[in-house]
Amino acid sequence: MVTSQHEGLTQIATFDLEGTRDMLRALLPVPIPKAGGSVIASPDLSEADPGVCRADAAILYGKGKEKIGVIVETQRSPDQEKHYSWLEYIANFRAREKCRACLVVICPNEKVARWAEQEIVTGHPGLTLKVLAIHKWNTPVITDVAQASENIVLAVISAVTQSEHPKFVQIAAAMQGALGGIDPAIACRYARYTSLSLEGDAQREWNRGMKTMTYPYQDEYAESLKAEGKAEGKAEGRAEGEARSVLLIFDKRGIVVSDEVRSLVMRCADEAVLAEWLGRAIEVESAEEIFD
Amino acid sequence: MTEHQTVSGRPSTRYPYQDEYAESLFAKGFAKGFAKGRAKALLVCLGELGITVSDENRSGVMRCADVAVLDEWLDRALEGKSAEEIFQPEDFEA
Repeated sequence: MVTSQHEGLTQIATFDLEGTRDMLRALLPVPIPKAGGSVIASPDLSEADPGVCRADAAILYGKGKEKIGVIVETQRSPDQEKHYSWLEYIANFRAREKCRACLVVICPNEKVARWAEQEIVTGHPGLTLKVLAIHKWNTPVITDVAQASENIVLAVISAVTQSEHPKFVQIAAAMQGALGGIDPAIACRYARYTSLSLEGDAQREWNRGMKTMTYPYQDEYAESLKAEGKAEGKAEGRAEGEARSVLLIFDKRGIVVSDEVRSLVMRCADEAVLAEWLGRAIEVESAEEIFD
Repeated sequence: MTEHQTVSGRPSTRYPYQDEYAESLFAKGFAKGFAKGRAKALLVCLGELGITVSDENRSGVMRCADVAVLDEWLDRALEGKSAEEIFQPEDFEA
């Protein structure tokens, strides 16, 4: 299931690959080279059946012998199916890129973390997969702005994994302070991704901190949220206004509309299609005819 | 992105907002967009019915944020009235 938290964490991991490099190097025992470039790879890791085998993100670090593929998954709840597909991701990515590959799973909650830590036994002697889980037990509790600034992506990821920590208020404050020291446009994006990745009390605390407006990027953030909210509302309202009009015309013309037609019309968000239906709604004798 | 439903049951793909202020901004945009959608629909209908709408009335329709007025115009159009009968000067005094 795709959710906002899922989206937020994947964005954090792929927004700035150099930042992610620092975060991965700080957390995991994987030989990710310090230099040598980085590139987002296609997360479609199917061998022959596209769409079936798709990771959340895939990154390639380094060149030549140092090249290594990092598959990033964010997991919000245990999913036994992943015990089959993860191995396939690694195998296919490795085969496609002809390099080493590893799989990192970001676990925002404890339940998933415990599950992700389990070894996946394939049945082949020696081939046992233990994914590289990032969770509250192996991420630092950063309550200091200077420390958060040293490795921004690590701080962002840790703020999410430590969202239930008793010191979360200080963690959020340190993170927001650190974002105050970088490019406001980038800080804005991280603030948004973090907000999406958090849930419940932690999310409320994060948003409360964002509203204190101590740093310039927080102004920008509030403005962008406002503009976005209004624009999204407007686009949805517009489509709904047009869809309603189609049904209204039927009602006014005394034409009976089945539940099926009603739901098909109300679900349509394509303005060109709605305009066509509107034109037909005036002439047809039965509601179903607008789809002809 | 999570899928959730608007009041009417239309599925929405936007991010659910976390606070009431953002939610109210969305609602404001929605109301504005809703009137615009209704206005555009009215103009499409008038075109389909072969009713010529002056530029002045056209922009009056697009500016109209009162759904009840838009509804009234649609009623009159479907009753077979002419452009002069549909758009009364007092309709635009709001």
